[in-house]
Amino acid sequence: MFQQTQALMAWAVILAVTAGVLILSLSSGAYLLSWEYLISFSFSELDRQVLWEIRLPRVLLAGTVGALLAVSGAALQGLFRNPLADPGLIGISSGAALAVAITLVALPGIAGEWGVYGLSLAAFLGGSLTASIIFSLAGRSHDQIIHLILAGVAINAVVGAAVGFLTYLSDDQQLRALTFWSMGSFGGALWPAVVVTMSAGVPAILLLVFKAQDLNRLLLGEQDAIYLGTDVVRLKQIIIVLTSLAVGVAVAVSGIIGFIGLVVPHLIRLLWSANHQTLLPACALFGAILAMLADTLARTLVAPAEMPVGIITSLIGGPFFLWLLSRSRQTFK
Amino acid sequence: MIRIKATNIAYQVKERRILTDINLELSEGEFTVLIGPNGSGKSSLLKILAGLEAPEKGEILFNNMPLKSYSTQQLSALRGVLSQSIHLGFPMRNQEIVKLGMPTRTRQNNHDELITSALAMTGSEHLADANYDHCSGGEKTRIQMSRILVQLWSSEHFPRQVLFLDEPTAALDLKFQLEVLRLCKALCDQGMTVFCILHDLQLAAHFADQILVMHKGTLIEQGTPSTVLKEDMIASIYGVNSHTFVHPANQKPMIVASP
Amino acid sequence: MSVKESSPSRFSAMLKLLARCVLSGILLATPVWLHAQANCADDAPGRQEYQRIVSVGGAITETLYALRQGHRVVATDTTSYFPEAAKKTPKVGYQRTLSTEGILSTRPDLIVASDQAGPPAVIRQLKASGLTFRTLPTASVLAQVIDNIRALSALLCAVQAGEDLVMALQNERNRLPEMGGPSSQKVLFIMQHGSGAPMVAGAATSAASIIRLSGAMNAAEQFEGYKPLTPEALLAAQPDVILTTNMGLEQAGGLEGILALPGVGLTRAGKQKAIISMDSLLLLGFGPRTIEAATALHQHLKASG
Repeated sequence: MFQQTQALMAWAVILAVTAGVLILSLSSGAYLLSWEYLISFSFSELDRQVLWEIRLPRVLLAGTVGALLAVSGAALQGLFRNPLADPGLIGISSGAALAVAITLVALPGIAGEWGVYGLSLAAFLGGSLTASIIFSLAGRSHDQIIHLILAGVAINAVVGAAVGFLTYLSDDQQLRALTFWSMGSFGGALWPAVVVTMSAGVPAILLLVFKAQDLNRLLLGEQDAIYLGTDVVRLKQIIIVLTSLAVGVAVAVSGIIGFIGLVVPHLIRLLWSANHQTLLPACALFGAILAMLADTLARTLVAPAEMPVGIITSLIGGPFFLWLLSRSRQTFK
Repeated sequence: MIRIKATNIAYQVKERRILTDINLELSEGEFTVLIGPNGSGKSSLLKILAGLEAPEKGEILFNNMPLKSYSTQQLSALRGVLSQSIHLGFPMRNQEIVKLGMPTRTRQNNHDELITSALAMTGSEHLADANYDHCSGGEKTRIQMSRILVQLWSSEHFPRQVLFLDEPTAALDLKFQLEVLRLCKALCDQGMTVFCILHDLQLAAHFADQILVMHKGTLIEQGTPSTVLKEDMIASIYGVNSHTFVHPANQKPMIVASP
Repeated sequence: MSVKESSPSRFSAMLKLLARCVLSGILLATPVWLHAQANCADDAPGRQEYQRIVSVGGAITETLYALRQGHRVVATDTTSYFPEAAKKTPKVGYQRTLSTEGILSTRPDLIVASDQAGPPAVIRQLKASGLTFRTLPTASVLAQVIDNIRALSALLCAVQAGEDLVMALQNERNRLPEMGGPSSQKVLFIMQHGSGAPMVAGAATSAASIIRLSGAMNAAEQFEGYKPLTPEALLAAQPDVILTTNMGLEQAGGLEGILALPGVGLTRAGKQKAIISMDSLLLLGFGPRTIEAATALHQHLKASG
């Protein structure tokens, strides 16, 4: 009844674009591998390695992290009923990053291949702790968004200081690892990182999508969500745990990559729908698209060197955030 | 049968006493209207009876079971609540809002049918695809009313349920004021219990089986419209002089305030 | 050490080595060098010389060029800006933030990197790529510089060029003390990195090492590594001369900027405006120009003393 064909068309288009961007990202990079050449299957051992050991895990990692960040952003914004609630801005990413930094300095051995699981766990704990603090600060207040942003500023400042302090405690090796995290990059994409991210991230995304209708109810306000039978307290806990898991895993493998969680959900709402049943899956795909594109730019713009992907996302996201702020003065009270 | 029975309810928020010593009964198929001046505690009483807030003292029985023994989900199948004006966090289309009345995990696949008839019941079919934020206050009320219809309909308990309404007519024009209350009355006839806060004494007189009068946190009068709606009661709670007549068509009281 | 096998070529190599050691006055016979020498001399069938080298680390790149192997270098990192030819090669980024694909895109057959190269995941990928990947330690004393030269020359089968370079270095080194000059001068190295607080070099730093090599004394020997500069630390160090890098001088706002740092005015170096700045790769790189750097510093010190 309700324009189902149109919706199907939209999904077909966004899936096709995702596939296209995946292929584009796989076939572009500093190392020359044209797609026609790949199809001819006449590639050397080195070509195979570049594609299979370097580019594919990296593109998959970028896509997964982008999806995780965008979906968490959308879920948090739904939870706070505010478009400015971004895991980076309100400090969840920083909390996760601090936990990673502490782990790196306290347990130097953990940076090994499968240590990604340990780091992800640490990032998850740091992220959920931060989220709980933010929620208890902002959850009950009437000036919710001001408290949110201020809490984020404070947490980011504390984390900045704590990471700064850690740099005094760390040796050269640890310092390098810390610097790497704070910049945000998919440069560390090895298969284990991809496996960890996907094995923790995909279930987190699915569970969040599963909660879409409850998030929709929350848009009516907590009171009316309760009247409709949603256990709001439990919902909040679930959303916080899942988004912290998603953001934690993303931060553990790629450091802090800003603004994807802010830009993507807003664009989907603007262009398509704020209904979480559409929004969350669309954010997963569009977040993946944006992250893969940004990473492809990061890999190719200054090839054979590369720049941190965080620079690209912030370059897109910063102005967008300002625009959103100026708009929100008129639209959102 | 008695659907809700409240005894000795007291409620306060941060030292401020809102409700004292409330006793009431809501029966199956009964239309109860709660009237009273602004700030007399009407909405607080509604939230307590609907199970959103817990009273500080007293007991509420819902189908002879303590209200607090029901889970959020169980309650949602037994009662619906139309709140005062609802603002959305993000823009959604009206049909999506009406659909929120469905249980989140349902095997029913007659969604579309339910939604269409719920919209039709409030005269809002043409608004199905419109953006909620772009609708007028009255249209918004009708959309939310449709959502609550879907909620009540989706339950196996329909119509042995309670419908709470907090000033449903505030934003509606004359036609829809009557239509929404007629809809409620029709639900009553099927067995639904309706508990409605109203400011319009005329509408209260016309639709209520039972009128409760709230003043400074207590129920000062309970009874049928003709026993409750008296000039001295109106003078004492509102401080307004009025005249009551008997409606020639249905013998219900008519209240005219003197300017 | 004992050499059980004694083929004629191995024997003559030993002889040559012995002669060199005696000439230079240093008894250094590294097993690495012996092994590599044998490898190149064997000229095993199928063995190819490396023709496309990616060099990561300023000192390594300088060494490659000093060994006259610059024509084989296809790409370098951003710390490799000497000599001019190295500066002009394609850049694979800063040595700590390399990109696997970027390096592989230059189709190298050998990657030589300092132990500072990173991030670790990229190094792991490069090692797994099947290409020859060699890591060299960062030198901070002359012996390590010589080790690195020998390791590289062996790797590239340019042993003779390597030995010539080592000999030249050692000759220069031996001439240094003959130049005489201010051996009692206390030199404090100040590093300004970005907008952060200036740092001073303590013991066990390359700055301390080059200062000692130039014949002077490091003014801040009571701690190891780099510490933030404080006025009290400055007074405790009592430097006669302040040494910094050209970039550091620029970052600090030139000579005036350094003199305006709190505490500098109270030291002899501050009062006499004895500030020396040198190129950071030359001064701290510990590549083949180490002695040139020490000599230059020595002459600067002489001039300011």
